[in-house]
Amino acid sequence: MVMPAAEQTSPEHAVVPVAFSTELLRVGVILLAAGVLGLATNALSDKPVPLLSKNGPGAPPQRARRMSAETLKKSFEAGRPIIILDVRSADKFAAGHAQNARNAPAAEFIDYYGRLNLSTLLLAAEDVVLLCEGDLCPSADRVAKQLNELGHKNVHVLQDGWEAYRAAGLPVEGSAR
Amino acid sequence: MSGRAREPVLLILRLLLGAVLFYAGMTKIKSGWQFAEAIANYNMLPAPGNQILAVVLPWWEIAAAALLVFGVWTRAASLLALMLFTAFGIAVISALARGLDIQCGCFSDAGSRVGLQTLAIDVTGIVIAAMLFVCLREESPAPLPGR
Repeated sequence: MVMPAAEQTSPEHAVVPVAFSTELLRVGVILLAAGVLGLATNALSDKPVPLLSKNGPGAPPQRARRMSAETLKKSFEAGRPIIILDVRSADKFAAGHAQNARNAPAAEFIDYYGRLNLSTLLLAAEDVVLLCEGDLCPSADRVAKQLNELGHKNVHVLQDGWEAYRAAGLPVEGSAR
Repeated sequence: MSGRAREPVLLILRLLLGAVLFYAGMTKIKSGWQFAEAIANYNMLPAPGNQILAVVLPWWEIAAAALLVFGVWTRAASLLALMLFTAFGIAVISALARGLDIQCGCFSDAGSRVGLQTLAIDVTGIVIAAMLFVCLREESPAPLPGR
């Protein structure tokens, strides 16, 4: 009969696999030690992430005002000066976008804001409409908040985004035409 | 896995997973604020939860990476990696189910957006971590009979 490895050795040198409960305990130790290290490093950093702050960087994005595609269409027809800011990625923008829209991807919005001189452009517009892929687009809500903080008040997010824009038959540019 | 190939394959997988986790952790530490916002975009936790997670999660990844690379508590590190990848997978599936168009927050503030590719990478991580946890062997002295 073949005996298990642990039983073949002498009792002084016998070994057994580490129990699962021990592994879980070790995971707990790692989580605790690394977590404390993280909190300490954050406290000592130049720009610490504020903890337990309701309005800090981890605050869920507040939902910005929505504008329906129909309202946007009527505004275009009435000749109102509206700027459309497409906050999707450059790739998606290149694949098709609203006519005369500016692309300012949400991830690098502040860079684009300066680079495209959006301050002047947006102040001249009656309404600013942010366009995202669909309606559940927290990045557009975040950009709307940034614009509000920069002094732009008439900022809206297009209800149901690019899908609604196309469905409404509004003018498009790029390969989506 | 056959005996001769087993050890080199496990070593490569350990180093690979360690490198990915280390890179992921380092990029997040360098951009804590952006990472906190990336977590917040998933809309799953209250603000304090997002902030605390943004601070501690990168260090969990780096700790798991260091243990995997240096060969200390490797099964526990694999288990931790498995937990992290699984939690991230749940967040990604939840985001996809809700139709969220957000950055994944995987590696840095300028990372790719949540999509099926993100899920595929995450599942790969889950498979490697699970393989390591199952195949790696760690032993401790057996208790003497009668004790």
